[in-house]
Amino acid sequence: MGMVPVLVGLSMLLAAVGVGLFVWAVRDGQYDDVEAEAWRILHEEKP
Amino acid sequence: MSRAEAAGGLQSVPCAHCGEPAAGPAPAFCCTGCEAAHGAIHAAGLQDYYRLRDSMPAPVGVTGAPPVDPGCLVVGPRGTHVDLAVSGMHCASCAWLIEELLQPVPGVGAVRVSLAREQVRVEVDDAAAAGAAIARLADVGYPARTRTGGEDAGRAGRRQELLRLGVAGAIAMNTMLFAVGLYAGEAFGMAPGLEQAFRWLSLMLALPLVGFCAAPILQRATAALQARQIHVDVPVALAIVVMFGASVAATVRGEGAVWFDSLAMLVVLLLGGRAVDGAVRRKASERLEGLLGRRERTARRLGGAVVSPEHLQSGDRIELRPGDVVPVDAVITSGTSEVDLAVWDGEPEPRPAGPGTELPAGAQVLTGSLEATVLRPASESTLGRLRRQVEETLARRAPEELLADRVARGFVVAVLVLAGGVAAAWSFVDPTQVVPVTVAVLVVACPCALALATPLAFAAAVHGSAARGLIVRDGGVLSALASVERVALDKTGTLTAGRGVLRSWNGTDEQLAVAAAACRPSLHPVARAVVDAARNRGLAVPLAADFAEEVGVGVTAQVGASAVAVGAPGATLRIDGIEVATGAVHDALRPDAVDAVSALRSLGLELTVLSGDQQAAVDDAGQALRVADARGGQTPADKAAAVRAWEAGGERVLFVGDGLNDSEALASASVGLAPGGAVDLSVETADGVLGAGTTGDLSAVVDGVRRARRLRAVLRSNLALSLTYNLIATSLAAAGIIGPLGAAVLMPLSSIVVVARSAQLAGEV
Repeated sequence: MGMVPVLVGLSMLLAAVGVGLFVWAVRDGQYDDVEAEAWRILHEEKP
Repeated sequence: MSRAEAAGGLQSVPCAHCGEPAAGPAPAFCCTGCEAAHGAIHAAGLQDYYRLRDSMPAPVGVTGAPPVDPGCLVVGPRGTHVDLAVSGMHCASCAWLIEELLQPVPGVGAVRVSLAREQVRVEVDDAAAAGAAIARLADVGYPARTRTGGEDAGRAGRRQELLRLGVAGAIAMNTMLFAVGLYAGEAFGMAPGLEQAFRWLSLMLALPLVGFCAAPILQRATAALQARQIHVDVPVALAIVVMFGASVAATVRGEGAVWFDSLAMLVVLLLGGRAVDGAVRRKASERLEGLLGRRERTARRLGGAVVSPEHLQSGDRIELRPGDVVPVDAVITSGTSEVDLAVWDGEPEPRPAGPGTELPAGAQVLTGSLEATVLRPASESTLGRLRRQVEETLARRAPEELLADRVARGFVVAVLVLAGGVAAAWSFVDPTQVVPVTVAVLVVACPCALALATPLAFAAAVHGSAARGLIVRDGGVLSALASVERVALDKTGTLTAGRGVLRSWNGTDEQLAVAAAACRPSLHPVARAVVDAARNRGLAVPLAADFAEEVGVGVTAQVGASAVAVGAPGATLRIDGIEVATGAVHDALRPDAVDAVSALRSLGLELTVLSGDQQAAVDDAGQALRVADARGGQTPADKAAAVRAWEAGGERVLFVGDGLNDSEALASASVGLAPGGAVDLSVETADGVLGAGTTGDLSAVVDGVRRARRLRAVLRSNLALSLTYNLIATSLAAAGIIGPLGAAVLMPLSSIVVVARSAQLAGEV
């Protein structure tokens, strides 16, 4: 039983990290245009 | 030292015009717009404005309104307006609510909402009123930005929406974790301390859920209630508040049931359903943008000043460089270049253009620099007109949409009354069940499906048919198209391409090449036929100069040392005034006509060809198309009489024909469609325009009929589905069989089902 608070705390921490990463990714604009990224591989690279 | 560093040493003082912070010394300005306004006010001797303004109490609810860049205001013939990109609008009642809420804002005139484009057009007195309108919208949960801001308009709103959904998802999953623990604890026993800790943890998780993720729903419901209006979000918001309140009370007291899991589920699925809805609308509107061609955001005046196309007046002189998209309709005054006119008539081949050539907005300059004089301002230009037509289409609501909206609003009232009744009844039967049962009823019976799906179905269908070349006047045209029984087709320009094929040529290939050189810049069907024939024979077309075209006579040009003329009768080539060769041009059937006509027949439609052409030519076309009823020699009045006779006999007729000659027949038919595309936008009499920027005018008719029938089927089955679902689910919820968790899953799922069905109307049918 003593492990439960530790595990709960750990899981919350993990979830918080996940949410934090998600918030960062959205703010960074990574979800702004999810379709264009699929096409980008077809574009020629500029040296 | 840069300007910013120089300004850094100065004190920040209020802007002399708007009061925003600006870098001193006084009088300082936050932006050039304010400086210009300040200058103009002083120049006009109206300094009293500032004294009066500062002594006026700020209007309620609009204090601290962000100033709007005056450049975003569009000055039109009927006053000034601003286009706002607004996120969070989902249904007709949102649109209606926004219109009601903006009316009292000082300086705001008429308000028009376009759901599909997520746009609100607000007539305003000035930039301050526009700012106040934006602030008012933000207050009530619809983040708005000015649209002329370009690419990032709406982006912040979309990010915020995605954040809310993602955070809600994470919270829901973690809440479920605790909920499973709590359910297991109920069944097998659990340390009381741990149980209470789990409840508190769930509560902590629910705080951001209600405060952040569900905030727009709550805001909209509150704003609606304050304005004494009914909105579909009201029952859901009420359910959220009741569930959260009761759960918090139970947690603090340490006894009673908690519904944090249901709450999280409800919020996440609601937001998910709306994200789907928003994505479909955005996609449809992007497709439309693509269809209507590139919109140029800047124009270059002669001398290099870059301005917004809205600022150009007719007569202004502009400069076009290779690669530029022509911003407004203009006529070339000097320079020559190849231009891409695909947006104009769908012809991909670049064409030469020189002084005197008219360029439509949206054409692209390819090779040379040009100077041009503006013919029409942006709003009157070809693309502007087409765009406005489509926007007006989407702003107007079909009768079915209005009905769905009325039904939905009536439904909301019924749900609230029912929930009250159920709560009262259960308080006698079993007081502990009052909260869960009432919540379940509120959630499960919400008519979101109906309110969301009907406007979406229309928007998707209108966009879908537009993408395939049929632009309709409003959603109601699609309703009428679904019940059409007979199709009457005009021949010339509808079944035939209005673009001839050179059937015979008694000259040599060299002569044909010379004729083609003279014909190249012309859009006349005979000239196009000559050019096509030369291209089909793989001839090298020489260069020509000094093009001229006389309507009804033909074209002339200088090819090498000879003066070349091509013209009537047929395609007759004259070199230096001497007739050297002649060809006959036949008006051939469109390549897609046979397929389209047989597709219309297989849809169970009666077919008739009505043509002003000679009976023999019409018989030929009728035979090729396997249409028995092919009538030649029809005057426009004959056609209209035939259409009226069918209509009087109870047959609903779709007439497809030229908007200029057959306007009477177009107007008499249940649905009248005019081919022509952007070149000849004869929308005054027609219910729709065909072939705007796409290929295959007639296949657009087939697609339109199919899509209209599908729309009708989807609307009917959506209505049946939501009513059946509501009836069954509400009874079960009222009886206490479906709990809050079940309701939280069922309601948004039912919405997603109908929304997804509606969204399909934008795609293949």
